[in-house]
Amino acid sequence: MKYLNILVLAVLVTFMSSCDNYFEGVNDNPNEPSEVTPDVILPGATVTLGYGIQGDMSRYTSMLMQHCTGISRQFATYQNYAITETETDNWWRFNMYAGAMMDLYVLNQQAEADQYTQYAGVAKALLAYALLITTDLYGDIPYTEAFQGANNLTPTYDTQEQVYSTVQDLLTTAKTQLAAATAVIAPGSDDLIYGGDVAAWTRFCNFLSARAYLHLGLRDAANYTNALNAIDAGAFTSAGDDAFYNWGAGATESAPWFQYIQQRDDIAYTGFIYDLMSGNGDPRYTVYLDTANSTLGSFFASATAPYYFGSYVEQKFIEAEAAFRTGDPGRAATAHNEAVMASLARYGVSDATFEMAEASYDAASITLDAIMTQKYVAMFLDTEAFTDWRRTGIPALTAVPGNVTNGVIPVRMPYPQSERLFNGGNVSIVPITTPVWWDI
Amino acid sequence: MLLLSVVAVHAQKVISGTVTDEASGEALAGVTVFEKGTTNGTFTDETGRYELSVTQDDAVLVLRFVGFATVETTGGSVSMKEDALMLDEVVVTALGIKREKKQLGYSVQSVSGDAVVSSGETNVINGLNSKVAGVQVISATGSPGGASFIRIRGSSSIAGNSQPLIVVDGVPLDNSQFRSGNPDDGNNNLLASVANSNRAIDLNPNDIEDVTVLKGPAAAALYGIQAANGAVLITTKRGRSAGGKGVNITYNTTLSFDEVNKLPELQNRYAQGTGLFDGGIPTYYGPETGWLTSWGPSIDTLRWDGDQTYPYDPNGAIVGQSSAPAGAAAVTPYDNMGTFFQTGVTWDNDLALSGGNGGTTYRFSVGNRNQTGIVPLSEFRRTSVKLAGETKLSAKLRTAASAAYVNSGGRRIQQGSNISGLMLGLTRTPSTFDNAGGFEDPVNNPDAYILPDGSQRNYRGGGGYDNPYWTVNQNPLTDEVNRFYGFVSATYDVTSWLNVFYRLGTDAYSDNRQSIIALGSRTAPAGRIFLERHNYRHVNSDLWITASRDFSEDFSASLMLGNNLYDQNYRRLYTQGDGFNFPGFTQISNTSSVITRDRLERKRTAAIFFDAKASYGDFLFLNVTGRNEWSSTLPADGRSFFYPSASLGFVFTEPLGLTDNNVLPYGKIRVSYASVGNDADPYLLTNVFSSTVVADGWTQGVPFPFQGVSGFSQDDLLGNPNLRPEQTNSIEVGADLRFIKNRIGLDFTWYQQTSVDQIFGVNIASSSGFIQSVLNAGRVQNTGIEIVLNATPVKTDEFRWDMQFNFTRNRNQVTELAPGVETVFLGGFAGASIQNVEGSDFGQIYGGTWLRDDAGNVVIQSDTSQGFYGYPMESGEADVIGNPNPDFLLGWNNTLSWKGLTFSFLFDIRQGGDIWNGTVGALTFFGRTQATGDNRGTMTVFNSGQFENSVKGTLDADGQLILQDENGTQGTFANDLMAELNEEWYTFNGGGFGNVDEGFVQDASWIRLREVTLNYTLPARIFENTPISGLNVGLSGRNLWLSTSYNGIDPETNLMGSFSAQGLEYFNMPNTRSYSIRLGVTF
Repeated sequence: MKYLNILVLAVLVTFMSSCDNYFEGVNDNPNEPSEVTPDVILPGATVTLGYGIQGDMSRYTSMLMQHCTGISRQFATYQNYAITETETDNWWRFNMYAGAMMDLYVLNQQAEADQYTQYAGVAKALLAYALLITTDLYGDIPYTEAFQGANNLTPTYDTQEQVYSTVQDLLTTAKTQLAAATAVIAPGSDDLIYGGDVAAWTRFCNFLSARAYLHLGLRDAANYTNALNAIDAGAFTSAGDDAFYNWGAGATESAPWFQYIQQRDDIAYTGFIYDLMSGNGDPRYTVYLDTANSTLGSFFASATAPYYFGSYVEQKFIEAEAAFRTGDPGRAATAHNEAVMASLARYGVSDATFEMAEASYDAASITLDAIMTQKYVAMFLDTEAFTDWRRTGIPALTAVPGNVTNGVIPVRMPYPQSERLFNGGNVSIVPITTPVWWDI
Repeated sequence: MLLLSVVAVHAQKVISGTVTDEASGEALAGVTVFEKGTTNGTFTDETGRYELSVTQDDAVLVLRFVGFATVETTGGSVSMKEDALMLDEVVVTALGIKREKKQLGYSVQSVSGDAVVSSGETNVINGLNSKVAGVQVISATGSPGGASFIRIRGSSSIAGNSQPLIVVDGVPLDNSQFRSGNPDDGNNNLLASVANSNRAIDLNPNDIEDVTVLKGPAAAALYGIQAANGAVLITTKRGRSAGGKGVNITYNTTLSFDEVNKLPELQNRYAQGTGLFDGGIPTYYGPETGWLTSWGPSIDTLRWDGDQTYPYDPNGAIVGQSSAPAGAAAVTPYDNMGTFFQTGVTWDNDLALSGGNGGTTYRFSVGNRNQTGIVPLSEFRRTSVKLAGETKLSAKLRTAASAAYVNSGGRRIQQGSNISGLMLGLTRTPSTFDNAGGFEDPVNNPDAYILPDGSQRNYRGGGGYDNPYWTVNQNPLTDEVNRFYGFVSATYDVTSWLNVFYRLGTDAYSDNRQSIIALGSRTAPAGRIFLERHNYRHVNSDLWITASRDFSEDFSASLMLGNNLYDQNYRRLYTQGDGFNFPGFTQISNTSSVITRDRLERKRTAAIFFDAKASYGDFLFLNVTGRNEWSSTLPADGRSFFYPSASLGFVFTEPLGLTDNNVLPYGKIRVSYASVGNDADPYLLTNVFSSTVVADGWTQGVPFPFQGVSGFSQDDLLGNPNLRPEQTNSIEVGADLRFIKNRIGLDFTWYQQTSVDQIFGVNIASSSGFIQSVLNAGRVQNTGIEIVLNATPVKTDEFRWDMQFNFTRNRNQVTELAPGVETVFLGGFAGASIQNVEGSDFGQIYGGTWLRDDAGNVVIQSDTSQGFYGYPMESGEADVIGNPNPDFLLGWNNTLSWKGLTFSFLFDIRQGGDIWNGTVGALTFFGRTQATGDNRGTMTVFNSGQFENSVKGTLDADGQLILQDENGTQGTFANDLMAELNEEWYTFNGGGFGNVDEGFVQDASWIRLREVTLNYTLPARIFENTPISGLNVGLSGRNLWLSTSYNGIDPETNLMGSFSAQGLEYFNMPNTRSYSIRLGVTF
């Protein structure tokens, strides 16, 4: 047995000493980097944001807004307002929180640490954009405690009021950072929206600030003035300033609506908006609808369709509404007419009769109803249409037959299943028929 | 050195003799002859002769042969006596070490290689089905080469793999099932694409001598972490001396025919169409409208207009009775599904040569299997070559080696949740549309599925789903595996009580796949091709030093010390080309956009261990093991872990003097405790960035690079730098009792296995910035009983009837998940999925539920102003809706033998266990199931079946439930409201695309006749004076009869293949029933 003991000892000693070499580097991940540069984070976040909003969320809100109709399979169910916690889970998790928002948060942190000031500004502007859309759809959402990884697996929810103030703070800081001296590394061709043009980003910040103020008008009418001030501080001056990018022509770069139609196609292009437009002789009717095939018009259905983060058209409508509400019908009428004309110009259509009826208002004739109805048409398939309708109730929509919500058109998205399951202590489940905070 | 030289001067002594059967006087071949107290040994040849160089002057030889009592001798002629009790049955235990079953303190069970072969299964895993207690085998589909899933004593890993280790001749054999498809899509690849193989399919059953299942970690502690879920030990056939002939030749050939065994029932009364647009009147909408469902008018009201230029049907377009031209033919329904499947043919040929002399033996075999499936153009083939040999270089040094080469692969068909999937297009096609377009032989005639303008001919006018004939022709996935596995080993007897053994083994293969989605296919209308290369290799090194000694007449002991090194390397290269520039040339060079993904995974472990055994009086056996393991995948300062085991076997009949008693001549009780650790997957310790992939829930999305720009995102997985090894502890108690001269044998085992500190990714709130976090958490407990009952009800000189019952009852509970985590997603859809839910059985079916009141009654909408008045309401939430774990499994195997004739049949009973029947759910939406044909338009009251005790109620404006009747009177009222079973309901929550999934969870219990075999071995005297030494013929049937209440395909199926997430069926390929004839000749 003595030999055995020695043998065991010898084996053990040899073993322990050679162990470290044997395992050296074996568990180093050769497949994915642990650090990356800002110019690869920004495009990933930009596209993740655009795809999610123009994908799942555009479909849900457009069905609610009767911009389209779910006719088969799961979409026939959503059409009846049976939108549950599982339907919004993908969007919340993969497109927003652990998707674009986390990447923008990381980009901002990294850019601040490295003093890449312009990257920090752009990251904040897009993060503000993402927060605004998310809070408008859900109400209270996590932010202050969010994006902390292992340090906080169950972030609390900020009230919608807090989120709105965060959005304005982010935009203010973003403008300062964008205007600072150009850092060693700054956005360029990796910026799919503006190609690194910081002045354009500043205009976008002012536009977004105006949009956010407008949403809070029902809470405090001073916000309409704030919205006009934001526009006057230097927002978009023409459609050339629009914040957008086009989807790609490559086989795997196609727009979300194109992919949806090709791969699922459970939605028909019928609903209130088409009746409204054909009744008005709106020249955009045949742009929105391919009347020959009863399919979505090619401007929206093409593989290379654009995604608009913000546009001159929308800004003019914001201006019109804010001016109207602050007792300046003259400015309201001018802005409204310009908004409608800019919208027609985007599609290269015109119609004298229609323009006479809908883009020739003056201080005496302009109404909130006219502004919001035309904005409803202009914001086709845009999630912003849902927010505007909730705020103003214009146009008057009727709940679809066979709905499962007591005849009430939903006024928010249900919190996703993952938050109920994994952050149940912080999320308070609200029916989709209960308005968000600003919706009074 | 001193030791060695001392031994070397000893003169060698050779002992020889012959062995005969005492009863018949015939020579016994293949008897093991061992020098007592050593591992030095040989076999007798065909003439019963043996010859062994011994190391000790006073050597005693121990002669062992299955079914005979062990004999000790010092040489010369020996006769052996049949042993009715079969106490000396030898089994293979960990590391390929053979031990007498009698000595074991834990449960093992063996299946002979012949039993695996005669099952007719391509996959050795399937060949074990219903033959071993405690083992559950589920084959994914009836597709050639489809994977099968095996688990022993339930699943122990919350999110990881729970399959046992497969070991061939002591060396681990990889049994991965690599999914096909873009790695960015992760688990979704398991829901769609094709049925891939699990790699144990590369073993040729004809090469297998014996399969032993080590059920618990006690049996497997010596294999370490890889055997945390048990082990399946496969011993391959060895060379045998052929005596004077020089070589033994065995040739086997088997021809099998497969046909589909069960399909969902479809209606053929109603046409394609809907009542949605025509004031509720079901109206025909034909292929040119692209309409998807079969909610159209009754087919007997329709006529073919006879227009021969109509592209979709040579009989013309379908019109209503009133608008039909004079003499128009009445439409008769097409049976698309009934005419689609074919008889699959499998031809298996196997040739083996074996021989040797004295110290050297060899066996060489070649096997070839060619299989065509029940789905046209589906194939699987396997060719294997294996050479195994042993030689004795000196009295002290023996070496062995084995090398096998396998080439396997096939042509696989798209399935599952995939709009190019075969069953999807096949079963959704309305009865008014002929997928074959009136053409003969549509499989081989492109006109059947391609219109003259080159576009696809299907029932939705080119939209919707691929025509099944298009799918099988245009969208194949072909794969080819080239594999080498084998080992070299040497044993050196240092002294009579000490030996050293070393073995170096490897398993290496490349799996090359090519998948084509032709231009115009529904999955990717622009066309797609992907090439996939999976390269896998592991090297395994074992070194053991064994000392054994008889200390007295009654007491002997042995100690083994061992070292194991294991290195694994897996690389996957994936290249996808999208958008064919022109049709017909399906190469990556013809695509407009290409992405590539490359992933390398490495892992190393090292271990030292001991295995100490002691026995007293040949009736008390103690075994203690311990192992320390180091793994590369754990943090550097925490990668070492130790785990022990102990087992005790006590043959109580021996000291009690009962061995001569007829009622209970043999009884053993055994008890064991074992602990086994486990490591993590590679690269889970840190956070990383990964190439950005964007998608939503309904489309394929956009992978980066995008427009020439790269994108990286913070990966969804939150790494954990503090991972610890997992741990599984098990206790097992059992008894082995033989009654009435072994006419009845009962082997009973109870076990409890608890796995804690599991490493798995738990879903976390994404507001943390991550989707999943890797944790050490959770507790999974498996408690169960296994009963193996052997009985020989009839035994005469010529006739014998043996039966074996294998009973398995396992309760697999997830008693704890991570703090704050209620469920862990294993796989599935946004609707129905498989999740681990704290406090429930493993892998529950999870999905949307009906709305229930506090008493658990389903609520029926009673507000007349609401949509779906009179129908059950949805809760809007997901919960557990089914349990896929069976209550028990029972295999009943019978063998009747009379002279050379053997007849055997195996019944397989599975009681309980649910499956989500996604196929029937979807087909209900489509108005295609038999039920939607029979009950369409009838009135019902939702108060039976799952709606028993349903009550009336509605939701108020705040979404709160109020129980009230249709008059608004509040209170609990049993439902008596009439509701129509119609298109509106079935395309809402009454069908599979609604928000409620629980309606389609079904009991998957079954009784089936799994195997029937008739074998005849011709009497040897016929072949006297011919070169033939034996001939047998066999007829067998598999899955000949199935009884189940499940109304889809055969419930023995699983969408995700060999994966812990069991219980989902969604347009899986159907299973098969087969008949085969086999001929075996030996020369």
